[in-house]
Amino acid sequence: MKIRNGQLKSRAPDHDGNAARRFYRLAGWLGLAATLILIFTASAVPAYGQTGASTPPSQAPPDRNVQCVLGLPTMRHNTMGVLTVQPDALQFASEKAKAGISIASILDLFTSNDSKQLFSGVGGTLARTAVPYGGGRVLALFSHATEVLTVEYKDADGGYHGAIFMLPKGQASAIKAQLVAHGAHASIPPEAPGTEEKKP
Amino acid sequence: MKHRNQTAFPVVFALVLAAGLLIAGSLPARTSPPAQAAPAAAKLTASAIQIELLDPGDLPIPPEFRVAVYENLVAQVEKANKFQHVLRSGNRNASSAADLVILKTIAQAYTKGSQKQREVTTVSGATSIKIKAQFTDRNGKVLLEKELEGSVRFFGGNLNATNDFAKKLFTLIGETF
Repeated sequence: MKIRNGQLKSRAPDHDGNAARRFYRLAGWLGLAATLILIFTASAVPAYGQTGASTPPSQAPPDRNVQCVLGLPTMRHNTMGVLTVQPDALQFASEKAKAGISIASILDLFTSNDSKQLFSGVGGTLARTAVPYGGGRVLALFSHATEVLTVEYKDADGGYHGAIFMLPKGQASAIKAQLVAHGAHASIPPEAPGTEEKKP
Repeated sequence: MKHRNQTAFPVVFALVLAAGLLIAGSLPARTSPPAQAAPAAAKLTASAIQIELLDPGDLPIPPEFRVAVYENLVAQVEKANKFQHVLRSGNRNASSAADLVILKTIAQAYTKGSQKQREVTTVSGATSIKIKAQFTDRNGKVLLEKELEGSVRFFGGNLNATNDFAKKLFTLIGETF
């Protein structure tokens, strides 16, 4: 009996331990699943936003998160504003000024899906380094969901110009497609819309 | 003691004399290079400059990088304020410009770095571009040629390498024109 009692006494804490272990394991799995869901939804939202836009891209609301990195004569470098495609021009409007590139003057157009980390200033870098315990470095791994649109064009005297815009992911391709539809020249044709819709 | 001082004096005197002679002998050698370099440093003059597009050669330089090199280059040449007219590639007015030099840029080496890698590791992921800058006259005669490198090692985006290169060319123009 003593032994049995002893066994009984020793089994009871084991049950508690197993239950706690199961609870922690379950909580861990749930946490992991929640993190994965968050990551997937964060990365999928722009893609769905892009494919879900069955309306013509020109009717989409203008995005104010476009950065004119350089190349527009009346704009300072890294100005934020709205980039829209007009029937005869690509127009960039900041809070203070407007600038346009005539579609007829466009020599070539490029988008860059694989050069997401080409840009970002010292300010952002310093802000990331300010995050304690090296968190900024982890943040840097997820903070480059941007796309680049490069527009080569000529001025009234025939002089070459190049403008670089940084847009939220997926929008550069849409703008390029619109410009080509309006008659702009592009040595590399824009991606067919169907290719993106196939994505899950 | 007196005897020692008397013998030491000629020795010290000889040493000082030898040192003096050595220094005197080396002086002309030191002063002569600037005298010879003076004619080489004769500055070039031109009233107009035309800036041609970056020739990437066989290097896989992305279009945005080429454009950034060009635009930063134009900005720095204008900032140097050494020419009355700064003409872009293809500008029709270049044919009528009287005293024209042409700036050509030819890419020699390109290392595609990664801002992400720089931020995460802080020691790797540098972007660099080595470009040969060539000033020619209208007939293609090379007036000056120099290789310059632009790089970004720690802070900023990869395109800052193009700005770094353009700033070095700004210095070169200041020294040359």
